[in-house]
Amino acid sequence: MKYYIFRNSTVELFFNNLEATYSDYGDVLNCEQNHDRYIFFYNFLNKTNVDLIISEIKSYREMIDLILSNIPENKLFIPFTLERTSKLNFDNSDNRIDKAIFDFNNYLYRLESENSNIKTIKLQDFYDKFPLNDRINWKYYFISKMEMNPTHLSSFNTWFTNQIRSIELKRKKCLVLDLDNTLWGGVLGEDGVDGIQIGNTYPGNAFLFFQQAILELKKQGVLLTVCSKNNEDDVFDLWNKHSDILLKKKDFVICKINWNDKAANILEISKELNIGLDSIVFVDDNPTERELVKKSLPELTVPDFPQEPYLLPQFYNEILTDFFSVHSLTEEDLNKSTQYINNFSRKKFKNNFNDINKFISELEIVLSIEEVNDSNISRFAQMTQKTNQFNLTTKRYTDSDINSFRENSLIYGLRVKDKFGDNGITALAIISIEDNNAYIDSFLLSCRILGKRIEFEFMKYILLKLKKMGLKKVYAKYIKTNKNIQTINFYDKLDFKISLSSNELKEYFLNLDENSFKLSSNIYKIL
Amino acid sequence: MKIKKKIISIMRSSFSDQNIDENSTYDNTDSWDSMNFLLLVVNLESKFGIEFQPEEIADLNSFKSIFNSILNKSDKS
Repeated sequence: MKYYIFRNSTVELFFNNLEATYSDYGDVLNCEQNHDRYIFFYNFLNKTNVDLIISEIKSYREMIDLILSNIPENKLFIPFTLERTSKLNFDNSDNRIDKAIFDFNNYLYRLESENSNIKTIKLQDFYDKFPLNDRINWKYYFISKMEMNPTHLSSFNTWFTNQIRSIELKRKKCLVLDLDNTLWGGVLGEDGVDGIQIGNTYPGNAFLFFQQAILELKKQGVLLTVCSKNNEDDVFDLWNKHSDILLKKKDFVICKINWNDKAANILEISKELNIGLDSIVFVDDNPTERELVKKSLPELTVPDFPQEPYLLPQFYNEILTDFFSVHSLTEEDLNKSTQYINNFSRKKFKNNFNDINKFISELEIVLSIEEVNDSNISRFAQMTQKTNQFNLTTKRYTDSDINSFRENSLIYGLRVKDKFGDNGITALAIISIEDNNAYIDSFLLSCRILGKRIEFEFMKYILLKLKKMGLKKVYAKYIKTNKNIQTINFYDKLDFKISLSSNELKEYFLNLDENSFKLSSNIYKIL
Repeated sequence: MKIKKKIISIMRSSFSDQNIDENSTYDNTDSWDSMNFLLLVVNLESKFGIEFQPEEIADLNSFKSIFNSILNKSDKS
């Protein structure tokens, strides 16, 4: 099962039990289509500016819409709700952040209710286990951009695996219930109608609680049946006379009350209802009965029954989440989902390209070109050392290397700002000039700013510049490394011509005279 | 040396790499990437009950430096 995870911070460790590909931070545009499931896991970003946090949370909706317009319709999309990991409001009465989170989470629930292939995971259920001040570890936050506390890794893994299981699990259809010591305390045949325990005092109240809970399952469409070794008349008598008993004959679609083998009874139930054994859960307090039935009907689900009546609520919760959870996805759901035409978010984004541009232009991106100088040269060198993924040639340089290029090269850094703040110098190009030709020696972008097509705009800016300088030809290379595969077709997309292509290396050229370049000034502001 | 063995076993499980030994360094180990390294630091901290300062973490680039750093910490305590 291949997962694709959209994320805005370092979360790899939390999903290391999955086969997963990760988006760049905050990138919702670049996404491969060949994954089985798509996860949206955005952490609450711990910042001090409340307005910024709110506008960021508000932008998540649009990002989700974009994702939904991009991924195949029949694939499962699993968004996580957003939860706070710290409370850094400077005004305690300011609950705008909580409100924004509440609105976003409701948006997810609404999407889920309207699309059967969207399953929202409530992150709050996980965080409920930890006090607020334990949800973030500031050391790891600062050293590696982790918005979650890595000491919770293994408990997150376990919790998440259960969530996925409950999403995958086909919901069971039928519950087969024993009676004595299961739906009430005591044995009817021995203790009599007045001797069994059900009602307002312990343990009778625990059994009553269990009956109430099972009645809720019935309301959700679970078929209730009885399989009990008793005299049928005794039980019918009890149901008629006992006022505290909640589940009565009318609540069960089939009652097998006899002294026959339970496995045989259950098999009959399965045939009469025409449902498979794998859709049936059998609940019985007697471990010997459970064992026998399990042996003869291995497809049947037979959970362990609690030793003490006060554990019944917990037991109910287990069977509910494990077998009858509404968080379930069946083949039917999946097929149905393709028919759903009320997929409003997708429809809204049918005209993909324009909408992506609209999305980007709403980020209010400002690009400013900085030529190399004494104060930014260290940052330039550092970027060549650290950038792995979006790096066409992966050449590593020191300050003095770069200094030595200044004479016959154009060296441009790119500062990227958007409405959320200043990312600093996050892209770099080194172009050496010889005669009338330009050679792109290095071209790289920090992964922080990927997903906004800035790389194309930056390159177009450079090509335009080279053309204005009167140069004729531009030569470029892609040198393959373990990490830069995402740039393999970068120059192809810009209409460079290939002059050499092998597994490890691609060489290109572009005649500047034959091409015109137009900057997208409606989307990006270039200074 | 108990500590050495314990470190190696934590490194092997964090990196999912059975080839880790006392000569392993960031430079000679393919599985030593930033994510695995982070996992290693988290595991070392919890299994040894110690805490590394961010400045120290930056210097943990070989088995030997990890060993020395942990040895230092247990000496002090």
